[in-house]
Order: sequence, then C-alpha cells, then structure tokens
Amino acid sequence: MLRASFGLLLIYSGIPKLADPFTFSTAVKNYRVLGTDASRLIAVFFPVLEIAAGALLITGFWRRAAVWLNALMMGAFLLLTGQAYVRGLDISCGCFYLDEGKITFLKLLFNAVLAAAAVLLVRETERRDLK
Amino acid sequence: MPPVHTDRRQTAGRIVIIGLISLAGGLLINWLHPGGIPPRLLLLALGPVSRQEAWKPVSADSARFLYLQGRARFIDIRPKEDFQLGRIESSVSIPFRELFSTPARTLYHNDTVCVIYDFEEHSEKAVAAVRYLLSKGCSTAVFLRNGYAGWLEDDFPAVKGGK
Repeated sequence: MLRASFGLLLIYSGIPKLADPFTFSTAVKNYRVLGTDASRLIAVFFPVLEIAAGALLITGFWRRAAVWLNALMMGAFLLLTGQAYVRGLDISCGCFYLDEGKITFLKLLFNAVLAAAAVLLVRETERRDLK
Repeated sequence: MPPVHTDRRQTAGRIVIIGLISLAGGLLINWLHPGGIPPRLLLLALGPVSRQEAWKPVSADSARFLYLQGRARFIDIRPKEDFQLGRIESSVSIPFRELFSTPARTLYHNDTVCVIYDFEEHSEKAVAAVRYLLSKGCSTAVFLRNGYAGWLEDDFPAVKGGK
C-alpha cells in the first residue's frame, strides 16, 4: 500500500515537470545549489527518473532498487527544501508543478514525513526479502 | 540464498541502470517534445560561452535609448499570438522554438544590439536565446531584464499586430 502510494506520488509529480522542462529548470535553479546549465540537465533527466521509479514501485519490478531509489529521492527533496528554508529563500517549492506554494515549515515537515515513510518502506522491504 | 553484499551490489547496479535509462529517456523525450529544451542548449553546457558573456540584462530605459539611437533590434521570442496582441515597436517575432532553426546570420547584425525579450522578467528562455546567439558569433546580444511586462509597466510604447 505504501509502495503503491509512493509510486502514484512520483508519477503525479513527474508528469507536469516533463511537460514543462523550462519552468522546472527555473525551479531547480532557484534552490541555488546548481547553476543554470546543470539545472537544465536535471530538468530533462529527473522527471523521467521519478516516473520510472514510480512505475517500478507500482509494478513491483526490481522492488528493492525502486524503494531505495525512492528513499534517496525523498532524502534529497528533504535536504533541498531544508537548505532553502534555512537560507530563507523565498522560492516556490517546485515539488509538484501545480503547487506554487512557498517553502514553509509545514512543507518541510511534510517532506520529512515522506522521507521517514520512504525509509520505513526500505526497512520493510529488506526485512521481507530476508525472510 | 545469495549473500547480503551480493544483493546490495545487485540493487546498486539496478539503480544505476534505472538512472542511465532515465537519462537516455529524458533526452529522447525532450528532443521529441515541442516545448522541450533545445538540444543545442543542453550542449551549450559543454561549450565555450562564459557565464559573464551569457548574463547581459539590459533595462527598459537602456533598450529604449538604444532604439531611439537606431542601434537596437528587438527580437520577441513569445508565441506569435502574444506578439500580435502587443509588442515593442519595430520588434520581430521569432518564437523561442523557431530561434534555433532560423539561420543565425538573419538574426543579428554586429553593428546593432540585439535585444531579446520574453514576457516575464529574467526569463530563462530569453537568457537561453542570448547564449545561443553568442555561441553563433553575435557579440551584441542582450535580454530585456524585466521583459515585455516591465516595458509596459514603464509606460513605454507598444503596438499591436505585425508579423
């Protein structure tokens, strides 16, 4: 259930970004971690990675790789939004393209919950595979 | 049952494969997508154009001054429909996606300043257009800092219609 939910979340997040890579590259650049050129490359590559990971989570194919990739992405989102919040950057989250909201403490908390759930999913998957 | 370290190597290998396939897929989708980032811009990341050259914003005041002196050529990279609704006088319409298939020699003259503008301020597309022109040998490409929106806010003249 958790795996399928993450899968749907990643696909839902990835599709609008794929449709408008320029806006997404601006959102990535606004975090002031990468430059303009690297942001464009990320804008081209990352949405497809999200959709691929989402599809793998839903189908269960390469399940362990998919849950680990999901956890890495959720961790990266948390780090990015965390550093933007600490630096006081007044930027749109860009997490979901249609979400134009700024990075607030609540949004940070939401990302932390997602990251924690992703770690839980990894542990659960590892535990089941060891049985 | 295979050892745990073998499983982890296998998992890591699969993550790398997923990443590589996503990169290839992303580049392919971007190439086919009408609104995608032009491949030449992605290649510019590896090119010789320096960041200092690429970032050349100009204010509406400066652009208007250059225009009144006959030293500026405006290029409107917005969609043609927006161009028809309102534009800077004497500007030419070259929608962003068409810019990269337009022969470079028809885009600029090195004795006039090529002022690129989009609608919003600090437009990523306008910056990309400037970098593209610089890579094609134009030494005088700049972008309008606050875009067409800023031009209107400063009450500078705009006209309707045109090609």
